Parts: sequence; structure tokens; C-alpha cells
Amino acid sequence: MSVVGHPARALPAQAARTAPPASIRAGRITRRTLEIGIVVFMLAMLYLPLLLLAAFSFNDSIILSLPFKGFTTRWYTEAFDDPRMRTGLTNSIWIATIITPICLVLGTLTAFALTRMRFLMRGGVAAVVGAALVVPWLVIGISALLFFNDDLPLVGQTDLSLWTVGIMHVVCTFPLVAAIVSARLARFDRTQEEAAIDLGASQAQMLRRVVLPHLTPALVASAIFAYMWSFNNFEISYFVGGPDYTFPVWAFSTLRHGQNLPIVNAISTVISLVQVLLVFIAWRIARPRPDRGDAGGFMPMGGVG
Amino acid sequence: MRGRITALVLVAAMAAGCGGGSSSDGSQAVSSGPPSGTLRLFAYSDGFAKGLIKPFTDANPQVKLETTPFDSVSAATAKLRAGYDTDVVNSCVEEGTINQVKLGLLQPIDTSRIKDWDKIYPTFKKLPGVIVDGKVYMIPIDSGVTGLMYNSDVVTTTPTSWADLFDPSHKDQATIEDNPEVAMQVGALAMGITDPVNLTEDQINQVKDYLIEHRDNFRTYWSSDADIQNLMAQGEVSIAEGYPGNVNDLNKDGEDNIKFSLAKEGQIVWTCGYGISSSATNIDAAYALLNYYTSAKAQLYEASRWNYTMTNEDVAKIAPAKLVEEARLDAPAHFGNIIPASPPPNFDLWIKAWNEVKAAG
Repeated sequence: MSVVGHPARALPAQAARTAPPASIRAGRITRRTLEIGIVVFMLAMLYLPLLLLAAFSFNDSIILSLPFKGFTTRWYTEAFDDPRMRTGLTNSIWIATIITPICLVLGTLTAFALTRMRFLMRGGVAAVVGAALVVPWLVIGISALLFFNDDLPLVGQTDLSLWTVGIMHVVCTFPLVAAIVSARLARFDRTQEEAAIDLGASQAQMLRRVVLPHLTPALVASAIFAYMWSFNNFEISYFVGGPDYTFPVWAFSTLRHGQNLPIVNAISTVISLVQVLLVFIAWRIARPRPDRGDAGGFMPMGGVG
Repeated sequence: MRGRITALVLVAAMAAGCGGGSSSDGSQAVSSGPPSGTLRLFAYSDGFAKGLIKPFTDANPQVKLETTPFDSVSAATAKLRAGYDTDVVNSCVEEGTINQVKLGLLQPIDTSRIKDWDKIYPTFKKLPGVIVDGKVYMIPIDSGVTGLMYNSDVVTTTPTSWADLFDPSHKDQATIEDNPEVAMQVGALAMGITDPVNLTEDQINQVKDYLIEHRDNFRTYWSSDADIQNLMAQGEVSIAEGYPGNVNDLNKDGEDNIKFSLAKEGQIVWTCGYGISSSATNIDAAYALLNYYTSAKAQLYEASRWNYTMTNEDVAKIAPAKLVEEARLDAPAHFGNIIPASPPPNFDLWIKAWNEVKAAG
């Protein structure tokens, strides 16, 4: 029975002719299975500890082990009843919220300077900015404490407070923003800027309508990282903090007692959920929109894509 | 303009001259009125837990208490060395109070200004760090004793010696704290060394070899309360070096088969307390806070909240019998062979030896 010449029946026949051999199909299936396996493994490695953390925060026991002793929400109640925890959490939120936009501005300006401008010692400036990313926070914290305790010109000795914490968070965080935004700028085709100018756009219009949309994923990623770096920072916050301490400082100091572990566990679960939610919202905002002609997208670990 | 700046500098200099309670010769002036002003406390966060500190702040409304937490005495020492100014410092003998004294971070305490000083058990007053070169630098407040934790379902005979940890019958069932000071002292006591605090280099090597030789007995080395409690609750280990507080927590959690016993060779005791920083400016308020921490009322709160063994002998008299038993509040009166946990002078050799033990594993 011939099917040649009949369009409707020709398709399966063509498919049969072009179908890869069984060995290749088996190879593809194996590769696909392996890929899925790796993804599942990576997701489990990343999120299983978080899920366990959340599960044990409802366990009616101070011991983090199976079997579960019963369901309770008392660790959450105790956590939020602790005024020291509330103080630390509020301080951390305030600092992170304030320093994030500052770091975005400083980091973006730095990125523009380093990628678009030619000036003396540009490499040296880049190295100094980048140094904050590789020098351990412990070293930065102790150095900053020595600095603030010194008699500074005009200012004198500086009392440690949330201000000193915030200043140092800016110092160690804006280089991260500069690195992420620089990577994005380096990949930007500058002929688009030239085209915009040729078509009559002003510098401001070109920046607003051409460059900034391109930078959006990088800026969103930077904002998230800046917020998290500041919020989670312990070493610098500990050394340059005065009586107004941050959440990580409270958490570390309270873990001296095993019986406090479920309390820290409970509040950490809440914070982790909020952070995951923030990342999700950021991803929704910055995801590529093909209908708008977006090519790149927000990739949390890669910074930008 | 220059005149204004000069005036400001003069006012600031006068204010600086008026501040603080210390005179330039280092002696401590005693003011006649109630303490006032800002008092800075640098402590573990339990040192200013709401339930503990509220009676002090209520009784001293003119004192503005500013608290800064730390997570270990070594981290606190680093911050103080870098120039952090405070008034009262929380410190622990086993974590290096003596180092803080040698670094000049604490100033001598005038014990005549501590109302309950005579009620503190003499054992604690002699600890290294509490007293250095005849001067008191820290008021001991709370303490605890290291002993043997065991699962009575598995270990049916009550262990009474550190050597029981090294008994071959407990192969892969024992654990010890991942702490060079405690681990080496326990090993030394188990070997029969009577002065485990002052080990010579030869003795350190002997203890190291002994610990390596018995490595198979130890399933793991624990590093936190959560660690040891999980290991015992899960049945991963049946005998361990640990603390009464760990056992009490497990018992309250329904693990009644976990028991505690003291080792006959000696009780390794940790002790924490409060000192006055060299940079302190509000000396009167600092003494007021030290007096509060030393009081039986404050210490009773600590005992009931954290099951610490307290240093004021009156606490055992006013505490309920159950609490006396749980927190071993009367233990200091019966301490026979107390071994103060305090970093020894050749501590670097201890750390090196302990690291070699772990690496051998």
C-alpha cells in the first residue's frame, strides 16, 4: 500500500524516514533523565535543608530529630514575644532597606565609570572597589572598628551605632552592585545608544529608554543581593555595631543555649520564606518579555543573562 | 567663627572632664546618690534577658542601660581589643577571662562595693581570671560542672569515672566535646594524671596518644548543645562527656533514660561572671549592676531559667528543692576536687595535640 502523493499520509512516512535510530533515541532519553536527575538533586541540596528547618520549627521539642513530638506554634510565639529579637529584626530590615537603593546608585555609577570612561588609574580603582568583595568580612569589620575608634579629622571618635553598621554595609555591598551592573554593561551593544542619538534622542532619553531597560535585570538582581548581603551580615555588623544590634548578631548570641535553637529555627523559617518570596517577585518583575523584544532575563546566581 | 569653635572645644573638654566615675589616678570615686546616666553592658544575650534584667532597670530608672550582645568571649575580646568602649563586660573563666586581664581589658574590682561578696562560695573566688595577682577582676555569677551523660537503657551501671568513656565495651558509642581544653583534661584524668590543668609537653603528648589509641570508642566529637542532645536522643551514642543542663533539657523533652553523673577523678567546672571594662566611664552604675547580678534574687532567676549552678550560697536556701537538685545549687558547697576550666599557659600545644587527635580519626 502506497501512501506516496497523499499529503496527509506522507507526514508519518517522512517522520519514519527522519526518525533517529533507537540507539540515539535511547541516548537522548538517558541524557534527559540525567539532566532532570541533576536538577532534582541540586534543588534538593538547595531547598531540603530549608524545608527541614520549616518542618522542625513546628516540632514540639527542643531536639531537632525524628520522630516528631507533636505540632506546636509556640516557637513562633516565643520568637516574636522576645523584644531583643524584634529589635534586631527591625534594625536589620531598616538598614537593608536604606542601604539597598544607596548601593544601587553608587554601584551603578561606579559600573558606568569603570566600563565607559577612560581615566588615570582606572585599573587601580577597579581593584580597590573589587577588593571589598574578596577581603573577609571579619577583617573589614575589625578594620572598620579601628577606623571608627580613631580620632578622625573633623569628626573625631565615632560612637558605634546603626549608622556605622549602615556605612560599612554600603562599603562592602556597593562593589557587588558595581560588579553585576558592569557585567551587564560590558555585554551591551553600544551601537544601540548611537542609533538612539542618531534618531534624535537626548542623552537622558537614550539613558531612560535604551540603557536602563537593558540594565533592569541586573539592577533587580543587584537589589536582591544587596538586601540579602546587608540583612544576613554578621561579622561587620558585630564589630561596628553598638547597642543597636542586628538580627544575625542577636541570633548568634542567643544560640549559646540549645533550648533557644527552635526559636531561632522558627524566626529563620519566616525570614527564609520572605526572602524566597522577594526573589520570586523580583524574578516576575525582571523576567524576559519577548513581546517587548527582551532578550535577556534575570538569573539569580548568574546575576544577569 | 574661630571663636565659636574654640568655645565648643572648651565645652567638650569640660564635659569630658566631668564624665565618668574614675579619677585620673585610677582609683574609683564613689558617688553618694543613686546611679544614673548611661550604662553600657557587653554580654551574652542571656545576660540581659528581659526576665533577668527588668528588676534592675525598674529599680534604677535613672540608669539608661545599653546592651550589646556577643556570641563568644573570644569574639568579645577581639572587639574590646579593637577599641570598643563599654562599662560592664560578661566573661567566662574557661573562655579566657585571664587573657582579658592580661590584655588590660578589665580593671580591678573593689569587692568592698559588692554587697554579697562574702556570700559567694570561696571555690569561685580563687579561680584563675576571677583573681589575678591578688586582685579581683571578675565577679563569678554562674557556673556548671562537666560530667558523664549516659543512656541508662544501654549503660546499666552508673559510670563514675572518666575512664568509662574509654571502656572498650562502649566502642563507637561514646562522644566528647570538640574542645581542646575539656577533651585533653578528660583524657588526662582518665589516664590518672592528677593535675590536668598544668600539663607538661610530655604529658600533652601522652594524652594525645591515649586519645588516638581509643579513637574507635568515639562515634563523633560534639560541638553544640543541639549536637549532644540529638546524639543522645537518637541513640547514636550512649555515654558522653556533657553538662547537667543538657540532661535536664532532654528529661523535660521526655527522654527520661538520659542521666548524669559526676566523675570521681575531678569535676571540670566552667564559670562566668561580670567585670568592669578598662574603658568604663559609669563606674557607680557598673557596681550597681554587679551587685544586682550577685544578688540571690537575680541568681535564682538564672538558676530557674537555665539550670545554672549559682555562686551565691543564699540561692540554694531560697530555691525550691526540685530546682536545687536540677541545677545542683548546693554542689559548690561540696565541691571536692574542682578543676577550673581555664586556658592553660601552653594552650597552643593543647590545640595542636587535639587537632592531631581529630586528624587521626
